[in-house]
Amino acid sequence: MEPIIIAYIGVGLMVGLAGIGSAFGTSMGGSASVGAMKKNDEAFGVYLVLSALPGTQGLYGFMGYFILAGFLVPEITMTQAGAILGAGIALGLVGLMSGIRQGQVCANGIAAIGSGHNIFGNTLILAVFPELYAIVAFAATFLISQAI
Amino acid sequence: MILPMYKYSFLIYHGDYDKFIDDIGEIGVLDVIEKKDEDSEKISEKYDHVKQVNNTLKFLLKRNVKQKKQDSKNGKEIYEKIVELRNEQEEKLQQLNSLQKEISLVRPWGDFSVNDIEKLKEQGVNIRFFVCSSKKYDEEWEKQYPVRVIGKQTGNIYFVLIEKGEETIELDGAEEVKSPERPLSELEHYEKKLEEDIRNIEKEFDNHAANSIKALEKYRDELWMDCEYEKVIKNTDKEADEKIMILEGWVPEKKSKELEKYLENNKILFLKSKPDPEKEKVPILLKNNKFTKKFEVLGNFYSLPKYNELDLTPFFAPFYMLFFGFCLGDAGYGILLGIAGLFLRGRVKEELKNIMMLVFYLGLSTIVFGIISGTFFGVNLYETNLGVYASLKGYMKAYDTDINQQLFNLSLVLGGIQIVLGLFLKAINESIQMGWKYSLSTVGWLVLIIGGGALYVFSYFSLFSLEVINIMLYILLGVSGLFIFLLNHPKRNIFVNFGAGIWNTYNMATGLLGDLLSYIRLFALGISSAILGYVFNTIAVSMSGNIPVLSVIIMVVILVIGHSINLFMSGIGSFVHPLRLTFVEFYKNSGFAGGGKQYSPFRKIK
Repeated sequence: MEPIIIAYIGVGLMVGLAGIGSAFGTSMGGSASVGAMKKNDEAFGVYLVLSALPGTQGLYGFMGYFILAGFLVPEITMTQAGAILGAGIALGLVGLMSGIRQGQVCANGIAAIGSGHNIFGNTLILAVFPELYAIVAFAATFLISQAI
Repeated sequence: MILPMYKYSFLIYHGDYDKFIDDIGEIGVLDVIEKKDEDSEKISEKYDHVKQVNNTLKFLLKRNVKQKKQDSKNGKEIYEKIVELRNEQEEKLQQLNSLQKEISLVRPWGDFSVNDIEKLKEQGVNIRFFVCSSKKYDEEWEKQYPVRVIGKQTGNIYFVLIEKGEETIELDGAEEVKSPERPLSELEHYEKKLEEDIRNIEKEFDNHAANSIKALEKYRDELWMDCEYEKVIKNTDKEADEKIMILEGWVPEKKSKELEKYLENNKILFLKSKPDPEKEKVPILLKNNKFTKKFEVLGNFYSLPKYNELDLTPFFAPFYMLFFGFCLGDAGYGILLGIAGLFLRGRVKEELKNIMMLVFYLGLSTIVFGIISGTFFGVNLYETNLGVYASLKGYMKAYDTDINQQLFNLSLVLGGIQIVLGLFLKAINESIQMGWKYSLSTVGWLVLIIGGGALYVFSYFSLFSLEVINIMLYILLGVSGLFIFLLNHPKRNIFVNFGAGIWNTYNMATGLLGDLLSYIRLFALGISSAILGYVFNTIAVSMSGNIPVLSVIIMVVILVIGHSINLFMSGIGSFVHPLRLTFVEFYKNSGFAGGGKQYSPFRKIK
């Protein structure tokens, strides 16, 4: 297989999976918000912020592609292509899972806020726990792009 | 800093008690100690009522009607009137809803007289109503039976069948429906009337929103004060055949003068004692300088400190500010935040002013880190030929490094400093709470970390010979080992201490490493916001094409939308992630437990 194809598979996994993670995560938050609006429609700003939190994974995937875009030329070496595939698998999978899981934390928080519990800050902090690993995967992608 | 509190116990003759409570409410500094109470449900019902009045007020204020000059009116009557109106409106809306459903069912039948149908029935002419999809409708029916189509709607045909006497006709595929009870015109007349009524109720709401706000606010405040009074009474102990009333509460030291003057002037017997934080839940009132005060709101996201703990706000405030700037790291965004903070400060309510100043500080820090990382609205200044940045880049290249590598290191260094500071605070906290002997284990870790760092610097710059450094290392390990493994608890036997020391070492070794690595997020979030800004710049330039004028407009639109998205998403990240570093990494290492209760005095609303 040509190295460039391997590299593109990596990019595909990176952008695709991370994006799916965010799509799942934000829609979980969104649906929970719609439900919570019925009970307490004054906290829309809070719901919005919590629903948007799992949106970052998709952006990390996209930015990962962006920092690697310079390598996507026909002359790419096998090592570079392999590195991009590795980065793609790492960032893609972590983005996918952490986006979904973060969405669940946010959705539970939104539901609780809707029922009148004042736990915005707590939810915010707990929700970024799973995001750290997407950040780490993105940092790794960035470091890989510097190394190759 | 947590303000020192005193516990006051008052002994009052029952005849003077009402006046006493009134005066205490006027002075407004006593946080009454709550007793366990079976009647607390009753009070909470009353508080619920206050809430309902407040919701009614909010409902009126939401209508955005300009308030007129308001006379004093009876707030209770107005409140009850509005509740009645809201119920009435709700009922009418439901009626309207079901009426509209009925109208949609009757509409295909048009207008007719129910009376005439009744009369025909009396004469033995029976009119039956049918609905049938136009596909199933058989035109033969019209020839065979007295069938007349009345209306067509959404693929259905509505028709009647006229029967005489006892005959019954079967029509296959058509569904018989109940004959409408009221004709369309009557229903539409009711609909109009209901709509008119609802409009009138709305007008009354607007009228109240313009004229009754002050009265309602007064009513709410009175109810609130009632609840507060009742709570104080409930928390009063009665002794000597209910002749003597005993009330207890907390007062901050610096607010106690006025209270004591009053007590002495009125010859009220009282006891004053220092709190015992181990046994009593002392309310917390923080007092910090102008800068740190702005960050108290962040600390409250987690919890207030306990009375015998250090208030960590002054210690995390500068770090939080730095970390936020590090994560957002774009001088352009920093300028926007700074301006927004200053601009809004003059335009928001008093309680939000501190938050706006916080935004301003965070903006400043973002500008500083934007300058360091060389990012301005997504433009990488190190890639431009700006004098300072070009020479900086050359300088770093000579040492085979670049700004990103340095930012990565900086994030770890800042993290290391915060963790060490946390351990320092933990040692201080342990000394305050339990005595210095209990803090020795933490001191041992501090000695090891700081000493280890110093030795690394010594050997890196070859300040001492290797032999000397080796000797220093052994001394360091010996001293810190003594603290960590043997002196970690003054009252336990030495073998238990040793075991606890090993467990502690395992926890510290894994914990510290994880904590330190956690600070890498500062660097990663910083580059992610910079790259996303850069992405939008690139998209704006490449997608706008080269049509004169229009290109510029498209470019500006893409830039504004793109950078707004980036500022929002990265802004949330930069707000939350430093919070997590504060609450998880920093609070954990400083042994912060929290759980303090906010000082809230019994106070009359003026």
